[in-house]
Amino acid sequence: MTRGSTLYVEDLCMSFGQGPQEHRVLDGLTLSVRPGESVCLVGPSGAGKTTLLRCLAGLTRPTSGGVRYGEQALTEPHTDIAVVSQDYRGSLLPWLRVWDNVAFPLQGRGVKKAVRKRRALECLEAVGLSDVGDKYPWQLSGGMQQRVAIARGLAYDAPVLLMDEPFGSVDAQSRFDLEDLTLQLRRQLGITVVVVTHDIDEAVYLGDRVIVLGGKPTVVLDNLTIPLGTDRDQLTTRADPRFAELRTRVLALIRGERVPAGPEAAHR
Amino acid sequence: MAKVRLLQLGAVVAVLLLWALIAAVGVVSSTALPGPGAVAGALGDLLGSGTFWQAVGETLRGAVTGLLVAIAVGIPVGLLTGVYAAAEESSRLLMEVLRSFPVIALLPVFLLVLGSTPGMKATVVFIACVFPVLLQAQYGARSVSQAVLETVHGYRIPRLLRLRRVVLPAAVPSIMTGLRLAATTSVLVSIGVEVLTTLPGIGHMIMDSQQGGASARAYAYILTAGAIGYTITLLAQFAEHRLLRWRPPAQAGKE
Amino acid sequence: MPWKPVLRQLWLPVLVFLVLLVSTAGSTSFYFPPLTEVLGDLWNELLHGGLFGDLLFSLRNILLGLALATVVGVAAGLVIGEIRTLRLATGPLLDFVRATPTVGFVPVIILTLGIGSGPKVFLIFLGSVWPILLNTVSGVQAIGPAVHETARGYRIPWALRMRRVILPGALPQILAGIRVALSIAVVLMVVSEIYGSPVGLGNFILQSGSSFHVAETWAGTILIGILGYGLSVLLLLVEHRLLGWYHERAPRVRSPRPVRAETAESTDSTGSIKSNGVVV
Repeated sequence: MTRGSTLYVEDLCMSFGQGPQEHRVLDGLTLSVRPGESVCLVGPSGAGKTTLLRCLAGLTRPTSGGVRYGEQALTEPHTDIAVVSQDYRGSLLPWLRVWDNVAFPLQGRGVKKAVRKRRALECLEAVGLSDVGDKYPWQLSGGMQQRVAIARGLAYDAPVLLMDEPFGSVDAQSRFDLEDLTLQLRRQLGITVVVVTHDIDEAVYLGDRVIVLGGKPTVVLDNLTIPLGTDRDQLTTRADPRFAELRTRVLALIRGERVPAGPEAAHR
Repeated sequence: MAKVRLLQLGAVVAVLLLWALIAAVGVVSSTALPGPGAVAGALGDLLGSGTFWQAVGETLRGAVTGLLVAIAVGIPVGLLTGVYAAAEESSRLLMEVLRSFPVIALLPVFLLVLGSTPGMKATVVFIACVFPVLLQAQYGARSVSQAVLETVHGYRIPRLLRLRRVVLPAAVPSIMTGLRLAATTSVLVSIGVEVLTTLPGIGHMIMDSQQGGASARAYAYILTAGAIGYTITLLAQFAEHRLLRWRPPAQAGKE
Repeated sequence: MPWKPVLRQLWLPVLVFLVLLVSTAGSTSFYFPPLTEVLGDLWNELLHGGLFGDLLFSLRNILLGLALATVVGVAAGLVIGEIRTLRLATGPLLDFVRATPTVGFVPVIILTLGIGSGPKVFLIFLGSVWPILLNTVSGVQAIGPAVHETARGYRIPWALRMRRVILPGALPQILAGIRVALSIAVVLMVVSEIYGSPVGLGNFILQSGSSFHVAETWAGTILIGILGYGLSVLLLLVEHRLLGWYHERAPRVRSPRPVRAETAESTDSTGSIKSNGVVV
């Protein structure tokens, strides 16, 4: 039941500033994400991960190279792509009630209010928030606000969900819950998920593939397939020796150390 | 709460007593500062007279007309110039100069051009009120956070919807500040124009009473003006409270 | 490089000026004389007429009244802000006084105290003291409780605490209050001089207006505008000197700085006293 098209990033470069002050952040990144895949982009802070994600969302144009969605060049936001940003506090509109926040993108498509509201409540239920629709965002905890932001992405009914450090500012317990929620939604809905994170464990836990970014300027260091299956849970998956080996491998890559390639971590 | 009310009542009584004392001792002449008793008596008489209510009506008419036009012009122009950075930047200096202009100084010119008419009064009120409203709306429109703008862009929200459900609500707190200011200003300017011209209204009655030696009545009119201003402040606070229910309650709001 | 933003801000004012210049050139309208004539009159009156004396008279009254209002307003505001009981008790009273339009007092004061300089200074003081006082109160309140507690914890003596903790902490709000007070002061200057005065800018525009010297009336009006703007720019410069720390903390995000928004923001967070003055 996978939908949508493949996302292609082709020789993408991004620089800030001009002339002698030009500062290159991303240097010739090439990668792709197939429909239904869960891909984590991991790298140290300052590596330009957010910039890359914004390019994927069509919110910024790269200096050179490009992003394609199927056959279309992505130069502005696409109806097939929803973004859940890092700053959930800032990205929810404080003057709209929770359900209205979730439904707001649908209003932009001209969906009628009753239909919008029903859909919003469904999506809130899907993220485990069934009775907060009539509250205002500030009345919810950080983890709940982030769930609302995810519900908004779901309500938009986009095959591709981009998430930028989605669980960076919630407490540890909520974080585990939200990671599991993401995996579960992906299994149920067959959506493509791209998660940007600096947390290596999270990347390995969530991804079918982990793309490791690093260097100055940033390049793709490695592209690892994570052979942990689709049914994962916080206790057994994280206790799996392959999990430990994969995370060590990613960490070593980011730190620029050499480790012998393990047999499980097959190169793509 | 009751204790605070008692304190506040005490403060009012203390001020009234001080006032009575100053008036009784005769430090200042009774034409400059009549006692509170005389003023209260004059106010009592006024409340039953038609002239008084007519004057209040005239002042409010000028104030409200000018204010409404200022709102109708100021909010849309402010929001639009706030949304487009280039418009804000281009108009910034002009706005700065115009805003700091004491509008009442236009009175002699307006008396020449428009004559001493209620329309002239409303025009002066309009000019005085449009800038606070416009600038606050502009400021409010610019206060939409980067995160919200990005989200709205990412979800492809169309322009009109964005203006109505994102920019406008984000600007409401700031616009309310502008409205509160403009509302108080409108009464003030209305009265100011009446003091300086022959146009009817509270300002004219103050002048009339004082010139006729009835300074207690003049003070009664001034108090009336204060009451109007205070009522506007309270109304504005109430409206603000209603409109801004989506905001988290202020921590220190319980006093 | 730094020319671009200047140009972006300047083109519209310059355009407006040029349009006025061109559209009134050769104007035979009685009410809208050519701008060149107005500016010429302004220049002549300043140099050879009595306008310069008028300007000095008005300026002196404004500065005296404002200085008095600042001293009294800040002192009273610090005391009221520091003493909780006093603050609670005077809240509604101060709100009422602030909402009372001072222009109403113009006939009373001038008719009883005369048309000299003293009553005008008093009127300007009376109008501008309230925004300064109220802003000082909310400025004191806006200082975080942690700062208060630290000062108390280190047993900082009262006078030193006032001078080095409370006053600087409240300074941003106090200056915002003075800015509001300044515009009120200019208005009261104009009104009191139009109402009754042998000299001053207000008197100048009234006299030239009622004797139908339209160009001179416009010239005086423009001069009042320049005075108002000049004083506000001056205040802004003072503010930047005094508040270096404050602006460094919150960099130039607020460049358009609607005067009252800042005030409003900081009062909204403290909730109790709204410190928006009235600007005409």
